[in-house]
Amino acid sequence: MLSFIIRRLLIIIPMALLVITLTWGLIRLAPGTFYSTEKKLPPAVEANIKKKYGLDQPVWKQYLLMLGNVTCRTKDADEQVRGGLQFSLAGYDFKCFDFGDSLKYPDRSVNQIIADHLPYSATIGILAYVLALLLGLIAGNIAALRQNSAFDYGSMTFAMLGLSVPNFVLGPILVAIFSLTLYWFPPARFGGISSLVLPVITLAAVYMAYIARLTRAGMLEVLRSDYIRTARAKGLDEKTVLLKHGLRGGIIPVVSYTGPALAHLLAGTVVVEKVFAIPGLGNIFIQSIFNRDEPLTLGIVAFLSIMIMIFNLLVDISYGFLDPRIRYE
Amino acid sequence: MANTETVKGTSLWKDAWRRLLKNKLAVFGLVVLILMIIAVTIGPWIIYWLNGFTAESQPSNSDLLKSFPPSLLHPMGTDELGRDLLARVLQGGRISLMVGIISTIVSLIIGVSYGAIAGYLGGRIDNLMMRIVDIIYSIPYILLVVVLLSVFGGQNTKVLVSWLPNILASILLLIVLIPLAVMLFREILNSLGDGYDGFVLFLIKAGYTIAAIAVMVGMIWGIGFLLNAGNVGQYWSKIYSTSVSQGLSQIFLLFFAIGLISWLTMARVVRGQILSLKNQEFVLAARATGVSTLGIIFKHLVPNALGPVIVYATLTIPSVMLSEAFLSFLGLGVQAPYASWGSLAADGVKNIGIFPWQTIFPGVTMALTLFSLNFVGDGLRDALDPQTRKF
Repeated sequence: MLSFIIRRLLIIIPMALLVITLTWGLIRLAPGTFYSTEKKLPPAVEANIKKKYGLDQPVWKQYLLMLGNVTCRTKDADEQVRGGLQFSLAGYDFKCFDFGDSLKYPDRSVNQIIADHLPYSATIGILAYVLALLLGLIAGNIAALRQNSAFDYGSMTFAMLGLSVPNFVLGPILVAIFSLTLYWFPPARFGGISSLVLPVITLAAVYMAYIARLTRAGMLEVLRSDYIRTARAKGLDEKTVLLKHGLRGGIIPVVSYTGPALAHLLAGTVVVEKVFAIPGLGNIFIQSIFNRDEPLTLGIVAFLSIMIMIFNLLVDISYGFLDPRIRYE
Repeated sequence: MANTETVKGTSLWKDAWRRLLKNKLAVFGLVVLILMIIAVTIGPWIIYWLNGFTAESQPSNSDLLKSFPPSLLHPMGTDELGRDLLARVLQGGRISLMVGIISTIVSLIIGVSYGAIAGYLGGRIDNLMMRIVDIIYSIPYILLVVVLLSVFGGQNTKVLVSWLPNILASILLLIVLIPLAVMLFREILNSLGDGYDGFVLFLIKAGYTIAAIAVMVGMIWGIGFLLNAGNVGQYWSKIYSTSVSQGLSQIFLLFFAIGLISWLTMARVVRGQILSLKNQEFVLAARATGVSTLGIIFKHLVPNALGPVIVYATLTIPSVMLSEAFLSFLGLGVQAPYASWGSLAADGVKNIGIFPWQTIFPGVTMALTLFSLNFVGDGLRDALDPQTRKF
């Protein structure tokens, strides 16, 4: 078990570096640069900009510098480090995980931007996650236990609706009803609990629908399995059978779905941030791509991909607790 | 007397079709889909014939307020430029549905080939191919789309589009010529008989393979050249070089870009199927009778994995349409004057408080279509794969 976890944690490092490399390559592949404007820059100015950002160097040097920034490298003599980790070893000053300054907002470092905007996305993301998990599990379980009942059909049709209504339609419709007509919640901006309600519901809808469907399908399959029959046969009461034996097996598909979903929710979803004017990470990310703001894009991609891999690892570990038949190789 | 009545066997597909028709929700979805396809196909013409509008026609009056609520003349109201929303929704439906179909086909072609090859070859190759899928998975797809759209967009689109006839001709030739060549090749080999020992036979096979590939490539380029010489290519690029058509080729690019990023799950699904199929006896039998690896994969394994593939493809269509809507919402997708349901809803969202119909009608039309597609997909899964049925 421990060696499994250590091995998986170690694999994350090369995988993340590969993702970062590919992202870097993709950004370089896209035409246009962060300093390109409608008007063509004078060659001297362009040369200066290139020199300042090291773009006049050969590509492999730029790549190595980028890798050094993302992981660890020795600090230059006059370098200002505004984020990440710093330490001295054997007479050298090292700095780690410092993605550098944003190209579009030169007075802010990438680490700072992520730290500033993540809390907004994370608050809404975690709340939406909890809401989706709670309601989805409850609805899915009741639907599975009362199979073919009115509740089953009703909740599953509702879940299908949740999957089919795009969230940029759902969000504005909720705003139109609850803020502009009923005046219950503010339509946008971040502040206070009441401003969280609509974004969280909008964000949670799709995940809730998915979790409800997965729970129902998983529970129905488990309730038909042999070990449930055994549990019933040995005289356990229905509550123990369902909660202790049934649910554990039934939520395995939910767990494997929600691991990566949580990472995406943490990073914020662009649409909800745009509709409700929330200063989250998702919008920053999209803007950084449009702006060709290389360090910022790389920083967010690195953060996101490591998050996804860690959540996937957690999912894999939790399988062992949920289903004793699963063994780690 | 002997029982002369023969029991009629039902094929898998007939059986599945019967089960599908029993599923009320799936039938509802199917009916809605068919109606939707008919509506977007002939709807714009009917509106033009009845009222004289097209999706692009703007009123000639100079009123400042041009957004009118639904009325008899404009059943869905008008947009902020005074264009009939119903006509725009129907016109946009063509693009939205086309995204769904073309992108899904692109993702099918890539995903099925990739997954089948990885699954059948197994071992290290499989491991490598699946790690590649994992890595592409963890790159945010929006970044991929932006790069694909901007690398091939703009000036390059014209180049790409001027090559379209050649590419189409090549695909056609590949579909028609390769089976022909393979059949011919097999005939020749069969006629050679057993007179040769292993190595000589291998040389002959290798020689024929190289020759066949050379002939095919030559034919493809030859026909491409003929098409170009006949000015088909130039004619084509001339049609598409006007500024309006630039938008259209951008749309086609979008179809391919979305398809190119949505094959990953398909590859996984197919690989899983192939893994469970490849150790069965019919594969062994095929190998024993000397069917080539590619032959086994595409003639014996893929057809047997078709059930889940069809189901997954039906579920890919709505997710692809949602991706397009999302991209249009961000301003990356369909560009004006063209519209899709996603871009129409995104345009309407700006004025949701004042002109709610501009969001609600395109949004609801799209939701209804996705709803039906999801039901059909679910129904197909239950029908084709009774084992994983949701009881």
